[in-house]
Amino acid sequence: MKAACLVVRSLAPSTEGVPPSGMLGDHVSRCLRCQAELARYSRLRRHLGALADEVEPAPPPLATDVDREVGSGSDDTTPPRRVPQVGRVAATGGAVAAAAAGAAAVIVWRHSKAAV
Amino acid sequence: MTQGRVRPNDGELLIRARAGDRAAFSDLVRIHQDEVYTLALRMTADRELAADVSQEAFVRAWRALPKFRGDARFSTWMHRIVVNVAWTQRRKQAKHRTDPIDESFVEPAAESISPERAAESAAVQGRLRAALQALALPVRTVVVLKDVYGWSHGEIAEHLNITVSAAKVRLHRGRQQLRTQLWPEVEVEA
Repeated sequence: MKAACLVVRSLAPSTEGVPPSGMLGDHVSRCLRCQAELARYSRLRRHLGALADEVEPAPPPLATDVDREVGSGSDDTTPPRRVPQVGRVAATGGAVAAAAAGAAAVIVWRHSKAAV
Repeated sequence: MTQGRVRPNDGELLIRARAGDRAAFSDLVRIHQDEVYTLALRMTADRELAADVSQEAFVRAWRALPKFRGDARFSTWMHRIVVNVAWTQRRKQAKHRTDPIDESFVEPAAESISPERAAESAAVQGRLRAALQALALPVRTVVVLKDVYGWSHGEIAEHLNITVSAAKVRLHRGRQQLRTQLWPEVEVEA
């Protein structure tokens, strides 16, 4: 094996599919052994990438276990911060407005009674 | 479930879950559990531990939901949590390695390739999974995150609390070992 082949071989895992340039590139263009080595790493990366499409089914109890943990209300499972909802804000606002209107009505009624 | 939609999307469920809706979070868990478990299994190479890691990751996600700003997809965010959980349990994992993972993975549908190519590809994939499992955890983690899930060296370094150089070295070493495992017959003379 030539020295250039050894260099290519040591660099091949990190080439990311980009062939070497310069003198090393010239060597690779003429050396079938180096071309084959680089091709192996390309195949390897392709096969690894294909694993991303494979999905392993989660064991059935997983979701149930998470539900139990999240819904247990135990001290170590803090639920997310409650975000005020539009409906709740509107209802609260309505109740406050009704109370204010009632108080105003009582005051007006007392004033009118005192005037009489 | 609204007519015309298969299921609520992550966005709707996230809004509800962040407001404390456990049912919405439960839906998110059911949608993403296989993906989360697969990543956990790839990292730990142990089914039991992968289930524990997945469960812990979802519980952490629930706790951290108020901090989730939606800058990344929920699945990406979950991946990061899984990596953190699995990585922090790495010592425990070393003691738990038991059953092989290479027999029951679902093979992707082989479309428009010859049966011979499909068979060869399946054989390589099977050997690859076994070879991956044989890698040391720190090396396997980097290879999985970079070459399977497409993380950058920077992301890997940040989440594993290692330097970018260390991530590159581990990737280099891991690929080298996988190549030797997959094609030992062309392991040429030095």
